[in-house]
Amino acid sequence: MTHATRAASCTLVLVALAACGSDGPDIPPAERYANQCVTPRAGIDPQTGKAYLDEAGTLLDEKHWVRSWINDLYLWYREVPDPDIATFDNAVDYFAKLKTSAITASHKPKDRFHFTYDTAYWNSLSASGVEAGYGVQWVLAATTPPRELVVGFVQPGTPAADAGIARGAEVLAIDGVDLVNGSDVDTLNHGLSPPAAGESHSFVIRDGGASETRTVTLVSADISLAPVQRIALPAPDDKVGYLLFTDHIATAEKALVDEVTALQAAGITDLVLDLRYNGGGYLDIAAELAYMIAGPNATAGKVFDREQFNDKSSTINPVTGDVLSPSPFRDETVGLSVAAGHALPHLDLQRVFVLTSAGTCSASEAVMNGLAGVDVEIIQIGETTCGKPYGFYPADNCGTTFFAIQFQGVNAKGFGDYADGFTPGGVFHGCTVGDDFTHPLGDPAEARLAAALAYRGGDTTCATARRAAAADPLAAVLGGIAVKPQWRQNTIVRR
Amino acid sequence: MKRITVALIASAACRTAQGPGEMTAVVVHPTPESRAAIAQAVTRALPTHSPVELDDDALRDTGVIVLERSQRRDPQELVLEGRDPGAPGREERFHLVKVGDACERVHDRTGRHYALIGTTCAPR
Repeated sequence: MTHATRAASCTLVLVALAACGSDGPDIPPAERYANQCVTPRAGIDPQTGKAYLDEAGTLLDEKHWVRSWINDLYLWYREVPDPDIATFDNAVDYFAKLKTSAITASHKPKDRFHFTYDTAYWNSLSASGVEAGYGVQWVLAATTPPRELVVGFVQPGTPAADAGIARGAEVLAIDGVDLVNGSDVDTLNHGLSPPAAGESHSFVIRDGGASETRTVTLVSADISLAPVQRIALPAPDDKVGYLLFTDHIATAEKALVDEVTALQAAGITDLVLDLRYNGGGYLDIAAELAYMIAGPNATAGKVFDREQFNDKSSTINPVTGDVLSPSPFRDETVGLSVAAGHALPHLDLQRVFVLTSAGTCSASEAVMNGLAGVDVEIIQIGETTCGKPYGFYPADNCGTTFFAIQFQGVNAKGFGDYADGFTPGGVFHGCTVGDDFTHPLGDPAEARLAAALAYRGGDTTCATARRAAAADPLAAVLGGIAVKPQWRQNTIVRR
Repeated sequence: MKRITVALIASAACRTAQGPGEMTAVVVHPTPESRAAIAQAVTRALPTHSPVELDDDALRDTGVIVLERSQRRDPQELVLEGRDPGAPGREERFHLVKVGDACERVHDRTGRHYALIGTTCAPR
């Protein structure tokens, strides 16, 4: 394919870039170097369904593309250093240096989200929510020795449930390797995150409240995880809805519609939204959920989330070429797992209790921020969230997909500065309460839910719930990290 | 509810026209063979014919399969693209229909029908 043909196929991008220009004559737009590869790919690009656009190029072309792409689209492109391009052996290493080194008020790196992936790997598909595993949400309370791995929850009907494993069980060894202090992390990770269904692994566990250990053998299966669970609370809290929402994946659209419809029918007057293990996903689902909580009166004509790109792109989305327009609260399904255009149920609540952890991230934080933008009161119980008001349009070049922060989301009030996360009692009322592994999720005695229920009754300090949890370290875990099997590329347990 | 068992030659069937008597359906009594047939048909429908992971209940509960990019996580165990603006056509949806005595999987985006081998389905 000639440059002219390729350019014609990318008209939208060119229009956008031409409108924005680039930062000085030394750095041309990324299109100048796009798809010029040391090793051009052949065949069909799954993203487009058409032949790859790759042509023979040089390593310098690939590195120039990275530099230009960052200059075009990176949110903080003015803060990017300019290391000597000739000193890098590959585009990925060069890319890693092209980010801001600024830090936040809490001394974290301002940019913690600068990544690359092999494109073929990144693009692989699976049925929504399906992964090889046992049906367990693991939570790492300590990632390095002495490690602590606890079961966050177990999905009914899965191998873990069949083995009698429940929330609060501690894993002490896998396939004969000491999980707490062992050095064979490959064996540990393999057992925790099996690459395929049908693998058999041995686990030494201590069930919650037990003093003895037991050994169970789990056989991995391809499991379709349920992203939403509604648990009915007993009286006197039977008018409080409780939703455990764990993933903004495509199937969550239907699940949320079903469960919010049930909550609506039950006539709930308050909602506890448990996002402690929800790391985000589709922003459209966040916009639907926020609408279902707040309802039409509060959200009509209001912005759920507005994307702000760098100062080269104030009116045009520089990636899609579309005119920048705010994302509304979605009052109809967008068609992820329910046909598009169905009216959504709504609860019309003026406040919502949100249970959070450090893993509450991205689209989950957008739910909180979007609701706050239309004056729905957020009562936050748990821990500081991850702090990711940013997004990206990943871009493939020559077989590598690059992720660099390109936009920041702000709510209807223009607020989006939460790079250090939402802390209970900070932006939102609420209080810090640890993760209570001594009770099931949805149990009114579970510390975070108990704190939310007590808050409704006037205990705005959460003191009662914290006191109750203080007796057992497993009832007040702070800093836990929710981990999930995911095609084994991640390292769950670290040395 | 009438149940039917289908044993068709998958490679022979691929059509886009909507036939008479076509009813949305769900899989009943899924077996390793039917699951493999569904996975094979889904793979054939994708532009790159990439293999996909399906669970054992594929098409059983709702008759619908939604494919999306497998979730990836960063070194902090956070969802990599946790604030995903999405894009038209990124997701691939399939639904199941009963056509006469056959079970067919329909690719929503293209409307193409793919017959399934060894799959038992019933109208939903």
